[in-house]
This record gives sequence, structure tokens and C-alpha cells, in this order.
Amino acid sequence: MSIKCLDLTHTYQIKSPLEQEALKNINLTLEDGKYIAIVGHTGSGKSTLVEHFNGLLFPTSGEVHIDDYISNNKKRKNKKELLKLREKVGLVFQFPEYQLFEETVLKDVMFGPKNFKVDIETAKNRAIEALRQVGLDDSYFERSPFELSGGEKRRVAIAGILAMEPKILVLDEPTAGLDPLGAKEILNLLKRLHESGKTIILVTHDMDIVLNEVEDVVLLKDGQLIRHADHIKIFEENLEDLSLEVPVSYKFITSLNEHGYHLDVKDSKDVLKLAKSIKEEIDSWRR
Amino acid sequence: MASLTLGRYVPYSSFVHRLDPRQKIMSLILLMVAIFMPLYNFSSTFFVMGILFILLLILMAFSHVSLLSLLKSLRAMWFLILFLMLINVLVPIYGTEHIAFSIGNFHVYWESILQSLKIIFRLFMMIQVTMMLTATTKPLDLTYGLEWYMSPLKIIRFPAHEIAMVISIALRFIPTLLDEANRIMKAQASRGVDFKHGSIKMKFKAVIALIIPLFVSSFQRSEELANAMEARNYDPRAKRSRYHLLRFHFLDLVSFLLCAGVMSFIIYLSVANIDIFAQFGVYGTW
Repeated sequence: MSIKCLDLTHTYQIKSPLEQEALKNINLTLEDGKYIAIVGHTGSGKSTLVEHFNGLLFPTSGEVHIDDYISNNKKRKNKKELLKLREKVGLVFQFPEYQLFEETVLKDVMFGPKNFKVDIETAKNRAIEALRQVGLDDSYFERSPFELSGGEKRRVAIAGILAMEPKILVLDEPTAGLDPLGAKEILNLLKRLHESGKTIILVTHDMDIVLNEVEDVVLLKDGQLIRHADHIKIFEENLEDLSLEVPVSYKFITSLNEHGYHLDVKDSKDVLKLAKSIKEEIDSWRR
Repeated sequence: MASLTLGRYVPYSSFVHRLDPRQKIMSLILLMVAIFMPLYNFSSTFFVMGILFILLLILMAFSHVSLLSLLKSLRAMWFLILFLMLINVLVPIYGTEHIAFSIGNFHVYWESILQSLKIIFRLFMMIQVTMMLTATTKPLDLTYGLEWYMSPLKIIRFPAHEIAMVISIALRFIPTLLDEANRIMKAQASRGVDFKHGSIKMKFKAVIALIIPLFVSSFQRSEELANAMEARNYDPRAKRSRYHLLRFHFLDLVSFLLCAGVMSFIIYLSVANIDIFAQFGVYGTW
């Protein structure tokens, strides 16, 4: 279950004065079971790229292979195969709370599985499980999604996609607009999902998440692929040129290393461990 | 979505674009009256309409209004056209004498067909002139123009400014709502909703999944907008100045006089009941 882009190009409003090339010749392979971040400045084509992964957009030229589904610019689409693809690749949009519409939280989460012809009993079980996964207990099930707080709505919306049991989960800026604690909860949830074997693709421009959470990074600029590398190597790129902010912890570690320390950048997520290794280093100098 | 492009403002700098919106609104009304004037008979009507139509086409070419989108409006009207044809054929009109063809005992008259063609032609021209206005005038200018026409009513406490404000806000939010609808459709499509295919029941469900979130977010937006306006002390009754002043130029006067001239001439033809072809010595036209 990998995603492969071959010369993927997408142009919005082709042959009109408003023509705009959003993606240019992207060649990319996203492997199965990875935790991948797609990073870039606003307007770099991140969202356009992920909308190709579940057949919301189709390439203007080139191809996208998602498992055995081939997405190209041919007019005729097989409706059933497309539906299957959307079940396999769950896409959580930016500010997904706007997609809620049912009377109760449980019904809304059941909406996805029901569309994929899952029987009601299974859909209900899946919905309950998905809601528990995002940390919403029984007391929420019968409430209206519109009376929840922003963070809770976001979690209901994510549960709505999880209940479809997609193999690949794509999220477009899932932490945008959440308070730090809420954002952390979402990231922890994603980590757990990834550990349980799901492929997670995360669209973000938060480099802290890139440094501390993911495995692979896809770097985009103006619709072009700049680099696809592991989450530490990506910092070799001149990120400030791409209008991305380098995390303070990364700057801290690298500048200490420039002064003769031998610290591991991977420790950046754990302040206590970092402090410990700094201390060890100082101790070793004293000896 | 394609039909929504009908009559959308297209930014160019033709002389029609630069005319005063108030004048353009008035011209629209004058031309509409001219289009709907009953004339002596079918040939006179089609002759006069045809000339007016060609003049308007030339004007359209000058002001970069797309002929294609005008023709598209015909496609949107197909049901209306069919309905008109049917009603006109079934209901005999005054002075029917020329049989086009008969189905058994039932006669279909040329007059019925011409009558429906006349109505369709008029409606088509109505769309044409309206498009001329909306495609060459910024929506905001249009509302300023309307406000100007409504302002005398302020004396009887008619809320002219408020109405203009409401219209301009509504116009402002059309693209925003379209974007929003597009986004929600994509989000629901990701959850397996099929907006294009499926039974009526499925489509109904699909529309609900679109409409409810759209309503919720528009209410939210309107509340935010109201708060933002109040935070800046917006008062509809306050006397306000304007950044863009509407000015009536010489060109406006000329185009107004032209439109008024056309209208008066057609009204004269109508009231005096003149058979145009008889003027050229051709008698007995239908």
C-alpha cells in the first residue's frame, strides 16, 4: 500500500485567464507504514498534493498510483473503484469541524462507514471504537456535535474518518487553531495510530512537529518537490529560504555541537534527556 | 457551477465599463421597455428586435462581454422554451390562420410558433441587456447606483442605505460561500458521499451533508461580521462620505440619450401601430 507519483502535474482552471500551476512534475514514493510529513509554505501545493491521494483531484498530466489504483487524467472514472480508494485513504481536511452535520456525535461518526456500505451494527461498533481512540467517552455519544468545543469537534471529525478504518490516514494541518494541549493530544493520537501500523501523512508547516514526531519529510516549494528525506536530514536544507521556521531546540543543539558538543538532534523532543546528555558531556570534560 | 458564470463581472476597461452605474441601470430599464413593446405584427417585431439585437451584439463585442456565456443561457432556458412552445401550440391565439402542419384534426398554426419564438427572443434579449449591465459593472458600483435611486425614499424612512449594505454584503459573500461549499463537498466526498451518482434518496442525504455545514458556517460568519462591524462602531444611520464618488460624464449623457431615443422610437412605433414593411411598400406581411 504505497503511494507513487509519476511526473504529477496539476493545473487549476486550465485554459482560463486564472490558470495556475499548483504542482509541477512531482516524482515521489511514499512507503507503507511510515509517518510522513508534507511540508511547505502557504501555497506550495501541499493540500493539492494530498487531494490527489484519495481521488478528489486528478492529475492534469502524469499519474498517481495508490496501491493498485491508477489516477490519471482520463475522463472516465470507475465509481466503485473510486469509492474503494476513498475508503482506503482517509483524508481529514483542514478545520474538519465544518463537516459535522448529524444530530448526534455517534451518528456523525457512523456517517462515513455507512457510506461505504458497512452494515449499521458494524458501523456503530467502529464509531464507538473510533470515538474512544480520540478520547471521547460514552457521555459524548448522544450529544449534538454543534454544542461541543472546538477541540472536541476536531476530534469527532477525525473519529469520523478513523471509523472508515482507512489504511492510510492523511491529515491537513490537524493542529491548526488548537490550544497547545489539544494539539499535543492529537499528535499523541497520531503516534499511537502509527504504532498500530497505519501510514500517516501529515500536512503541516510546523517544523517542531517535523523534528519531533515524523519519520519522513516531503519538502515542497511553489509546487515543486525540493527534497524527500528523513526528518533530521531535511534540516540540511536552507529552511528559512523556504519561509519555514527552524525549531529553537534544533538551533540550540546544533549551535552547541558547533562549540564542540556531541549531542544527538533526536534528543530534542525530550528536554530531560537532553539536559542529561549535556551534563554528561560537561562531566566528561571535567574528567 | 458553469451557469454561475452567467453575468459575472469581467474586468476590462471599455467605455461601457467606465459608464456611470446609475446611467447603466437607467439604460437597462429603458431598453427593457423597448424590448417588451408590442408592435404591429410579427414581421415588424422581428425586424425591429433584430436590429436592436445586432446593435447590442456590437456593443457586447466592444465591451468584451462573452457571447459564449450568453448562448449558454439558452441552454439553461431549454425547459422554459419547451414549455412556452407547448402552451402556445395548445392555446389558439387571436388571428390564427396559417396552418403549419396538422396532426389528425389538430392544427398547429404558424402564429403559435412565431408567438413563442417572439417570447423566447424577448427573454433572450432581456438576458442579453442584463448581462451587459452585470458583466461591465462592479457589483459594488451596482449597489451604489441602486442606493442612489432609492435615496429619495429616505424621506419616508425607507432604509435605502441598509438595503444597499445588505446587497453588497450578500454579493461580497457569494465567492466565499462557493469556496466553502466546494471545501465541504470535498470533505464529505472523502467520507464516501457521492454527489453525482446514486438514487434520489442518496442524493438527498448528500445535499443535507452539504447544506447543514454550509448553514452553520454562514451563521458563524455573519455573526463574526456583525461583531466586527459593531466593534468599529458601524451605524447605518450615520452620515458617511465615500471613497469612490459616482460622476456623471458627458459620455453618460450621450449613452443615456441614445437609449432613451431607441426606447421613444420603439414606443412611437408601437403606439402609432405602424406596419414597418408597409412603409417600404411591402404589404400583407404577417
